[in-house]
Amino acid sequence: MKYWIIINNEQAGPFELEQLSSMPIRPDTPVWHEGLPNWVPAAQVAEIRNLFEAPQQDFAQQQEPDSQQNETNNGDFEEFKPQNNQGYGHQQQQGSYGYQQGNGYPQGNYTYQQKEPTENGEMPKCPDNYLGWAIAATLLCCMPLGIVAIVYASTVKTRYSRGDYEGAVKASDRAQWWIIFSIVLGLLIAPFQVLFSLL
Amino acid sequence: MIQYRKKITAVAVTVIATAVFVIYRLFDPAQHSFFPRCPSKLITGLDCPGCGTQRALHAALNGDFAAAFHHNAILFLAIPFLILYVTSSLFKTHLPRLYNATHSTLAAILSLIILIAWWIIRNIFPYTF
Repeated sequence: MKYWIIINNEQAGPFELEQLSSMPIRPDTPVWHEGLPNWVPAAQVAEIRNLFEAPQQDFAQQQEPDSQQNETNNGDFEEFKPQNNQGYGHQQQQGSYGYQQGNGYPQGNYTYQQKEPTENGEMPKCPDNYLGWAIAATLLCCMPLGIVAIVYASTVKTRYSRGDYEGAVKASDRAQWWIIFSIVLGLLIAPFQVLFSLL
Repeated sequence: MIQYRKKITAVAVTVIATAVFVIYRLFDPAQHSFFPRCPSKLITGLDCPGCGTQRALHAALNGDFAAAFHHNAILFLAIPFLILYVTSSLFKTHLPRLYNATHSTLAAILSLIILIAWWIIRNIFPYTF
């Protein structure tokens, strides 16, 4: 099945489903595939939703009308408002793609925002849980510290899928730190053991 | 830029892997003292889940898998898992299901349980394993 998407106000595609996993797809990214009468938000395409593993609740939040978001994020949305009305070259492209804006998409530009969790509830990609490194550190360097790293690694995905991006990043960072600690401790003690055995 | 960094990483990994292969094939960790030892064994006297890994690697590189299993049996689970983990990380777009499976919370919790169980078992039955 081939998919087309609209990113940065430009149509892109066709892509296979697996290629989409490395693309900056947001839940409101317009997607079309054969069989659809019109473009739909990525959140409504089941296989894309599964690809990103985020539960339905997160997407539902983002489809609330903008008025609510503007009330809670007054300061941050000041700079977004002018873009809705002016330089919004989006209008003329609607005709050529045939997708309608009035389907409940959040108003705003479609430029992809990376790294920082943006104020409209969008979450960037899940941080890596470093599980492989944690297991290697446990087996090779220092068991107690490595175990702590594995514990943190196990919490990264659950926090992310609960919507707690900051918590997921913290857990991922802590896993990394404990991996480093275990390697350092192993390296510190190793020479002592070598000396000890030589005596 | 990223391509450059990937190439450097690939070269570094190949060099290190070759060095490991050569050193562990030629020298038996039990008989040479320049190999690092286990910190937690030094402190507590108990085997940790990774104790015997170096000896197992030496035995396996010299073809003696029975001795490798005797030194550290968990490696026969851990190394295949780590290979799958690294492969799916490198080829994330081609192997999305494998990536999700190896990076899942379930995988992490299972590894934790298995490692701790192994740690306990090998200290209760030191001569069987």
